[in-house]
Order: sequence, then structure tokens, then C-alpha cells
Amino acid sequence: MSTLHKNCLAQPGRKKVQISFVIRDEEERRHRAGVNSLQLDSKQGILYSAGRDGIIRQWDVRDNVEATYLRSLEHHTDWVNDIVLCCGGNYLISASSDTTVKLWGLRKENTCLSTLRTHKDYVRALAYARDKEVVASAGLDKTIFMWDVNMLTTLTTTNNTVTTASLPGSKNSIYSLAMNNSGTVLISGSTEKVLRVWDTRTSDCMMKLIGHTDNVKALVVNRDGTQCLSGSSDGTIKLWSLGQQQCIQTLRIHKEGVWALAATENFSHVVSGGRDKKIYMTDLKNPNRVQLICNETAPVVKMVTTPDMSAIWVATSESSINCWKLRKSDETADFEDVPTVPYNQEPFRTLKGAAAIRKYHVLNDKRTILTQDTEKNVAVYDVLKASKLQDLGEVDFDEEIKKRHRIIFIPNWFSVDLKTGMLTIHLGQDENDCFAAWVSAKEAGINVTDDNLRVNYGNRMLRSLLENWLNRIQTDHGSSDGSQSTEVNAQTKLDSQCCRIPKHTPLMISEVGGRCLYRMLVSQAGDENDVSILNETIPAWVMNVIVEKSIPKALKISFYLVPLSNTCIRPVKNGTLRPSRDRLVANDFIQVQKIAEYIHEKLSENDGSGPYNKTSDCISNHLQGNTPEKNFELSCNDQILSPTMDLRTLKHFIWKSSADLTIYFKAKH
Amino acid sequence: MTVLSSAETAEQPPRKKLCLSASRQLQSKSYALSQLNPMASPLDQPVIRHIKQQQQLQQQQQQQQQINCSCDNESNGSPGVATLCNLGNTCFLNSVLYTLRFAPSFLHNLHHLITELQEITGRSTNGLKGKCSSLGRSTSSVSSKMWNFQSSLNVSMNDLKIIQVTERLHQVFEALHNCELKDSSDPYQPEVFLQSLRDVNPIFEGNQQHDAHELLVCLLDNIREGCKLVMQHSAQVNCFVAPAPVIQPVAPNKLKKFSGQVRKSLKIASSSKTRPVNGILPPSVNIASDKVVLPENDNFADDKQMYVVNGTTNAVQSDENESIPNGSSSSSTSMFDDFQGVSLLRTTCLECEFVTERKESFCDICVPINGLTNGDISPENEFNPYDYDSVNKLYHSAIVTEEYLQDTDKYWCEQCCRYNEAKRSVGYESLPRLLTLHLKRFCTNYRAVVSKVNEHMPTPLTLECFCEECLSLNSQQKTRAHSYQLYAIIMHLGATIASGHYVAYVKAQDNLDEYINCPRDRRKTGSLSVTPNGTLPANYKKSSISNGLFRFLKISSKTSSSGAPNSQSSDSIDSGKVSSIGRWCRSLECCGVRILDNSEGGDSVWLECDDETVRTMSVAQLTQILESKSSKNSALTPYLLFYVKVNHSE
Repeated sequence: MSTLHKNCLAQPGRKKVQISFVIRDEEERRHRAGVNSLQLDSKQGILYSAGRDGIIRQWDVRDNVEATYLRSLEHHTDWVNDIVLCCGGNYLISASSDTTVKLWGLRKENTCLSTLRTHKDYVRALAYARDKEVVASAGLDKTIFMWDVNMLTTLTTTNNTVTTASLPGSKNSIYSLAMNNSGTVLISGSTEKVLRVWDTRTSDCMMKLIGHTDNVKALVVNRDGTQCLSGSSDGTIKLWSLGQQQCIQTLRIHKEGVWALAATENFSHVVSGGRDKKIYMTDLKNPNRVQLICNETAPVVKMVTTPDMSAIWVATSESSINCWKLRKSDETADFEDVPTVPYNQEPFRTLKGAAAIRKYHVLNDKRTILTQDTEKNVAVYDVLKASKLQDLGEVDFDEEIKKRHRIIFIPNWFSVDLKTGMLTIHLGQDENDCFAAWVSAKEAGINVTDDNLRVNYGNRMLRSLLENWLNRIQTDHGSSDGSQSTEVNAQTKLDSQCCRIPKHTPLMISEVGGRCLYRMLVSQAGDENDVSILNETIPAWVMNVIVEKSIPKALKISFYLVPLSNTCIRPVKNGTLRPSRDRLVANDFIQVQKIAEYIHEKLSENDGSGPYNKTSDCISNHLQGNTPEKNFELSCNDQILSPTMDLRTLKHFIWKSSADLTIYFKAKH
Repeated sequence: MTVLSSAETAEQPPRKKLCLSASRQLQSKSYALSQLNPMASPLDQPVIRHIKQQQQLQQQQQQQQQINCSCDNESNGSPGVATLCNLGNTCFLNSVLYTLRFAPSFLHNLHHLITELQEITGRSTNGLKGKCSSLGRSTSSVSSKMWNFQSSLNVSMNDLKIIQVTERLHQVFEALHNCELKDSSDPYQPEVFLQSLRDVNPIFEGNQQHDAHELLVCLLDNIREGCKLVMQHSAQVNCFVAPAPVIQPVAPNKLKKFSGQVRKSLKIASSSKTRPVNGILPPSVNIASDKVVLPENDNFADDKQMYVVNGTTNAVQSDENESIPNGSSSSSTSMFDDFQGVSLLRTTCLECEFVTERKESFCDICVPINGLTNGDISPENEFNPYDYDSVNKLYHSAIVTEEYLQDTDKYWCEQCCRYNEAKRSVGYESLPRLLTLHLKRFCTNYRAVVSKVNEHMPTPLTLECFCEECLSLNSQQKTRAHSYQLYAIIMHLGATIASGHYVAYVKAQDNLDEYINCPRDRRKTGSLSVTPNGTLPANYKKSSISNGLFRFLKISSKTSSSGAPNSQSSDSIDSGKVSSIGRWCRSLECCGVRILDNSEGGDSVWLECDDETVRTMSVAQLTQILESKSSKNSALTPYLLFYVKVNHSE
């Protein structure tokens, strides 16, 4: 892909940069969450749909053919909010909540040609002037930008500067835009509850149309730019005359907010849909003539009509896209006051969607995630492998969590995001230290002979994600690494290992809570172009660990080790009995048997300088010929501890306090 | 009083600038001086004139036995209203006390709350009952009583102190009542009350100036605690009484547990701030809760209804003693509900438009002052502070607010599983009968220094209701269900919160109606037959009436120069009331204010209560004070506004 504003990549500002990836199938043929926008290329018979899963899909919707999935356009990392087809269906422009606007080539490559990063917040709406090939984009950053499509298509990696006219002055987040075909008039709807009409030639706001009492979410303007229709969250549809600068008709059909509008070419009829899930068609010349087209199953977000106005494609906040037949406008029918019987009972065509993940639970091993989707199906995911392990079907989610509960404590090292309806894992967000989780190799499921070997989940994950890139840069300055490789010990070998994760996994580098800096697939990380960008964008906290190989610090836990009073061991210091307790500090993953070994070792020291005084010889006899964990019994809060339990689990599940841990021990007899 | 409409008087009212604790002697001296001095500020004139009129009037009448009102009284311009002494920087206290005293039906409710609290304490310590009625003035007797109380009801010591404050508050009003009876001009010193207040809330210790709002919140808090206690107690009593009497002695453990549960549920109910009592309670308590639901109704018809309910419950219960709190729980809860409303915080995700609502109860509404400069309301139209609609719009926009969560402060929408923009709006599900508006005059700036906002904020005498119901009615072009009438203002003079002076302006209102046939006024006899108490209390008979506030009220009515005919006519009205309804609540003779109806006079009369000085003024005078915008730093600025709800009858 070409990068437009490279300096943006090099200077991510002061914001912390995170690395994220999505756990998904290689090919996601169905929308996972709601669909925010639709475009129909009627000549080719292709429907374009913009999903909340960040994917734009193409569907074959030719007449007399079973509607099928064609392909996906993937590069957005957040909801795609709006799309427009331009240049006769050769290009597509998309606006997304990842704050970018992207240009896609559709004829040959079906890829993202350029990314426009001028918006500073979610880009919410697009408008297109066919005659001039101009696209306007606007969003929650309150600004509108005008783009010359023909110019955008000529951009290359080297020629990547673009001039844009901005229309400043709006004080509120913009939720809707409309432009007439000749591009003379641009109208924006925002939380200001006012329509602003702009003159695109002078970039001036020509007028404000006041009348709505809530956010304006849908706008349509007629061909010559003299009339416009607006749908608002206040539940009304208003027809405005731009010449008279006033509202000439108010339709109160919907019970809730109006989110989508489609009008006939001559503005004789308007089709409207919204939060109340109903789609109505209204005769604008006789507003009492209202017909209920259909009842959708979810709030209606967007509609496109076929050119002959015989059918309408409807996108909702659910993943399926339905096509409903429209009644011919000249058809006479009986109109009720409040139409309740819909014209269509069933959709005429449907593009099935898939379920979106709505709930998740990270299990105690901090590696397995249980999810539940909109169809109540439960699934098990493994973060380290970046893949789904198992589908459990329709089982009780909470019950399944209980069933899989284990008494083990591992610090959080990632966070989970469900906004796209798929599992997105973020590494390096502020609240979670990516390198906090040190786990024994055994626990991590790696076959090693040495029990002492540890794995850092974060380190391992990042290595797996960036494997291709690491291989590439290591071969670049491979000589020095090669000489050292002979003397690496088992631990560093383990550290530099990685697990196989699916090559199609999308990898995102973005500012925490903000814009995406770069997106690629794990398999692409070694490509020529991507390597250089990665070199610039990979944050320092990742570099230090996976390139410089500085070993992430383990968390420490301090604790007191106290002999039980009924044993013959007394704490001593410098040969004398002392009342105070022994305060020790250890890595949080140290196991109880290690502490037993420590006690054993100290008691075996016979020079009297050890911390304990053996008042009876029986102990020394006892010590001989036994393994440490069999010699001593450790307890905490009156619970006898399993030798394999680690300190942080002990602190979390048995001690249950933030104060320093106290562990008691006694000799076994 | 007509003199005041002249242009000259539109200036500032005569005020002691930054005088915090001028001693009484000094003050009277200054007043004496002002009388002598022909150059006294023009606003002093009405006072003098008023006094002169009063003197004339008294000469004319020449028949009162208590006519020998002291000269002090005259020179102070006191209209016969008992006054409070400044104990050294206690004008914050006095202004609140004056306000509460004249708050519609506050005294009456307080009286019954105190009676109930005393009954709870009295019952638990049988031997000390006698002492309770005398409202132990010495701290020792009170505390010993309290200790016993504690042991029996398991109330914390802090609760007892809180109750004590409320009792002492009542004592202050009782003492003021007695002052008025005796026509004593000596200002009352609320020392005992102040002391117990300091016991509960140490921030009032020391002789510093304090925030009147803080005190008001504290007092209302104490009253709420008292109400809660009475409720708990009545719930407990009901638990014991409601089941058949056989059970009563059997399983004390069980009952104890149960009552504990009830208490818990009560607490939950009050903390969740929905209805005071929830459905877990036994049916007999639910009766009480049903009554609780009607707190706003202070009109006579509803009182009667409540009375009927009480009557039936009384009939069921044989033991008179047990029935007491049952009947009275409604009054004490309504006492606090008078001040408590429910606000509604709505958050709407702009993407899915899913609304989450949170309800919170409140006692006062904070009104930011910068509303004037904020051009959101009508940037095109010039703001007119004298226009009723624009003033109401200003308050409306300052109180019912709407903001957007955007940019870096986006809202986590549970429906969308992401951060989206959201609209957050504050509305009011219900507004209390007595609405308190707290103008945000004091703000902390970046150096953590509290500074005062002196900008003028218009004070509407009538405020349109802005509860959800009224707003929806208004949007349908219908008339609103209620409106709010100003009944008191506490003004602040000075530059900071720690210095300065407070003055209360209260509306002199006739609250006698609510005392008639009061359902909560129980007699030991428990019968409805006419008793000596059933008539207007002795000290409210004609002679004393014409001696009390009535005197000045007559003057204020411009029509008559001599008060005699008026006095007779209103006396006859009163006797008419007495004969037709026949029963006055006993609390009237305990702590009531002696103001009689001035309806024939047209305009209502306001009292300017400035520590030891209480003066009368007309509405016109008051509005002049409220509208004066001059000299920003020394001006009296409205600080707390008190409104009473008026239901528009359809």
C-alpha cells in the first residue's frame, strides 16, 4: 500500500503505542457485526457492504443468480462507517472509526490504494458529487474535507501529497453529509441539531436550517440542490427548501430516531428507516399516504434502492443484509392512518451474516478466553496461538466459566476488545504490563527437561507476531548474532522461541486509545516495504525486549517466613535467638517447593550463621536423605500449601490481602 | 410604604458593610443615630415612617394590656417578630433559622417530628418521660436520656447527637414563639442550639463565618436522620403489632431478626432513593408507606384522607401507645420529602441511541451563575433580566442541562462494545414541595482560593416548574402542572465565603390552614370530641392577635389608616374558622409563628431578617433590592433561593 503522510508514522507523538492483533478465520465471508453502509453497482450487479467488523465485502447480486459473496476489502481496523462508489464503479472510498479515509481500486487489484489520515476522530459520513468526482468526508472531529477522486487515484508512494479543501466552522460532531450530483451544495447534519448548508466553491456556510430537536443522522439532497430531506434522532423527517431556507414539511412516522433515508430521483417518495426497525415509504406530495414496507429485526442503519426503485437493500445493526421489494409508486392501495401490516412479510433476498462476539471472559491462566456471541454460542480461544480452540455450542456461559476455573494466578498481560465483533487483543495498553506474565515452561505447555525454565507470555507473543520481521532484520546484521548463538543457554533459547500463529492474523500498530498507525498481516511482516515501515513504527518497549533482548523484569513479592511455634526451629541472627521475622523477596512465579528448598538449605548450614536455630538433632537427622518438599510443610492462613503452587497464586487465592505475605513452615515427622 | 417607589430608593438598601458581629448595643445606637440624622440613607426612611405610623396607631388603639412595648422594640423597627441575636459571626445561622421558620409548614412538621422522636425516647425510658416533655435544657439530662434511648433502640451515639440538634432547633422556634407571646424585644440567643450543632459537626466550631448553604444541608441531613429513625421505629412497632398478639411474646429472637431485616430494607429503600418503604415490609407498614407516597400534599383534603387511614389503623390496634408512631410515621417522612426531589441523569449513546438512566435524590439544585454570558440560549436576542420568560429560560437552561461526551472523553457503550459519543442530560423526575436553589456564588480558582462571583443573577418571584411532567406538558403546548413561588432568599454581602454577612428575606405567610384539624395532633384522650385544645389556642385570641405581627400587616395594607376595623374583620374570620372546623393543632401554641392572613391587603409582605433587626417590606421594595446591580463588590447578592410548589388545579 502507499502511505500518504509518512511523517505521521515516524512521529506518533507522545502517545504510547500498542500492538494489537485479531483472532479470526483467514476468510471471513460473512459480516460479523452490524453493517453501516451499502453501495450498489447496478451495472456490474455488485453490492458493496461496509461492516462494523472493519471489512468491506463485495456480493454478487445480479438478477436471476443466487446472491453470493465475492471478496473482501480489508485494511480498516475499526468500524467502516460509510462508503461511496466513484468513477463509474472503478474506485471505492471508505470512512472508518479508525480515523482514516481509504481509497480502494476495484477493477484489477481490489486493494487499498491510499489512506488519508487528515481526520483526528472517527470519520462518520461521506458525500459524493458524481458530476465532479468529488468526495466529502466528515466526522466527529467537526471538520469536513473535500477530496478530488481523480487526484487521489494518481497518488503513489513517492507522490503522496494531496491538497484538500476543508470546511471549518462546525462546532459539533458531524453525523451525516449530502452533496448534490453537481457538487454545488453540501449539507451537513450534526449534534448541533441544525443543518448547515455549505457553498463548496467558496467553502462558506451559506445557511443554517433550524428545526430538529436532536442529532441529524440522515440526509438526502435532490439533483439540483434545491430541496433536501433530513432524518433526525428526534424521530422526524423534514423536507427543506434550500431556496426559502425553511422546512416545508415535517413527517412524524417513526416512533424513534430516523437513521436512514432514500428518496426517488424526483423527490416524489421517501423511504425511511430507523431505530424502531420499521421501513416506511411516504408520498411527499401527499404525506398521509404512508406504507409500511417491512419490519426489520434490528435498527435500520442504511438503505440503497435499485435504480428502478423496485427493491431496497437494507443494512441494520445486525450482520445480515436483506433486500425488500418496494411497491410501485403509482400502484394504488388502501392506506391506513397508521399502517401496521407490512407490504413484505419476508425479505426477497438475504445475504446471511455471522454472529458477533458479545461477551468474553479471560480465564485464570491468562491465555484461554471464553466467548459468547450474539447467537449464544460459546467458544474457547487461545491467545498465544491466536486461534479458536473449540466451539462449545449453546452452553451456559457462566457455568462454563465456573467449570474451567483454576486456582492459579497470572498477572494480566493483554486486554481484549470486541468492537469489531471479533476478538482483538491489545498488547501494551497502559493498564497492563505486557511482560508481567512469567510462567513456568510446563504451565505454558512447552516440553522441556529443565523445570526451572520460564516463559514470558508477552515476549513470546510479540516474537510470534513479528517472527518474519525479526528473521529479516536478523539476517540483515546476522554476523554478530551468529557468533553468539553457540553459547546461548537453554533459557535464552526458550525466550527466542515462538509459537506458530496463523499467517493471516492481522497485526495493528496504533496509538493507545487512538489512531491506527499501521496494519499488516503477520505473513507480510517480512516484506521489503513493510520491514522499513516496521523499523520506524515498532515502539521502543517492544524493540528493547525482542530485538535488544533485554529480559523483562519479573514482578517481586515480599513475604515473611516464620517457623510454626510448636516446632523446634527458632529464628536466630548471628547465633542468638531473635523475635523478629525473616522478610524475604522473591519473583512472583517462585513455587512453594523452592521456598522449602531454601529452608532446607539454610537449616543444613551447620556453621550457626544461618537464620534458624535447630534445637533438636532430630531435625538434622530428618534432613538427610529426604527431598526438601518432603521435609517441610508450608502453610499460609492455616492452609497447607501444595509444593507446585507459586507465590502470586498463594498471595491471590490464600493470603487475599495486599499486605506482605506470611508463610509458616514446620518439619514433617 | 408608597414612599419607596420613588427613584431615589432604587439604590442599595442600607447595609452594614462587612459588619460581622456588631453587638446589639452598637446596632441600636446606630439606628438611633440614623433616626436623628437627617442625612440618613433614603432607605431608612420607610422604617422611620413605619415606626411613626405604628406609634400613631397605638395611640389610637389605647386599649391593649400589653401595649407597653419597650422603646427598644420601636427603635429597632421590629414588627413584632421575635429576633435572633448574633452570637459572633452567626448571621449564617440566623439567616437559615429565619428562613426555616417561615418556610411553609416547616414548623408544623418539625413539631410533629420532635413529638414522635420524643415518644420513641420517652417510651424506651419510662421513668424519664416527664423530663422529655420539658425538653431538658440542661445537657446532662438530655444526654442521660439519650443514653437510655441508645441502649433500647440500638442507635449510635452520633445518631443521638443528630436527634438532639433537631430537638434544639425546635427549642429555638419554641423560644421565638414565647418571645412573640410576651412581646419581648430581646433577641433570642440560640446558644444551646449552636452548641449541639457544633457537637455534631465540628466545622461550625470557632467564631468564624460559615457558609449558610452548608448549614442548611447539615440541618436537613439531621432532620432526615430523625425521620429515618421514626420510620424505623414505626416499622419495628408494626412488626410487633401487626401479627396476632399471641405471637408477640413467643419468639423474641425471630422478631428481633425480622425487625433487623426491616430496618435493613428501610435503609436500602432510603439509599436507593425510590419510595421510602419497599414491598418487603408487612402489610401494616405498607399502609404507612402509602401515606408516605403523598408527601407533597399539604392541602387540607389530603390531610383528611390521611386522617381517615389513621383512624382505621387506630381502631384495629387496641393499645393506644402502640398506635402512635404508626399514625405519625407519615408526617416525619414527608417532613424530609418536602425538601427532596429526584433527578434523572440520562446518557444516550449517539450511535445506538440506547439510553441509560440513573436516578438520584437531591435537596438543592446548584445553579451556575455564568449562564448570562453563556450565549447558548438566545445569542441573537438581547437578554432582558426583567422579562419573565427570559429569566425563566435562563434558570431552565442552567438547571436542565445537556452535554456531550466526545473527543477523548467518549462514553463506553455496553451495547456497541466500544467508545462512542454520548449525550448526557440532567432532568428532574420530581421536584420537592420546598425547592432550594443554590446559586454558585463561590468558586475555587486555580490557586485553590475561594472567590465570589458577583455577577447579577435575576431572582424570579415565580419560577416555572421544570420537572419532566411539566416539560412534557409544556412541549405539548399545555399549561404546566405546577409552578414555584419564592418564599425566602438568603442574601450574601461581602467578598468571600469566610467574611461577609448574610441576610434573610422571608415572605410573611399565613400558615394557619395547615394547623386546622391536623391528623397528627393526637391527644392523650385520643378522642375527636371537642376539648379545650379543639379551639384556637388561648393565646391566639383576639387580644394577642392584634398585638402580634398583625399590627404591621395592617399598616402594609394601604387601604386603611387605622387598624381597628381590619383587626376585627380578621378576628371574625378566625373565629369563623374556629367555629366551622374547630380544631387547631397543638403545635401552633408551641412553636408557631404568629402571622395572620393578610389576603385582604393584596400584596404579600416580606420581612428583612438581619440578625436582631427584622423589618417589613413590600414586594416592590424586595424586587428593587433584587434588581439592584450597582457596585459589584459590596452588593447584597442573592445566594440561596427558596421556592414553594404551587399546584395548578385543573
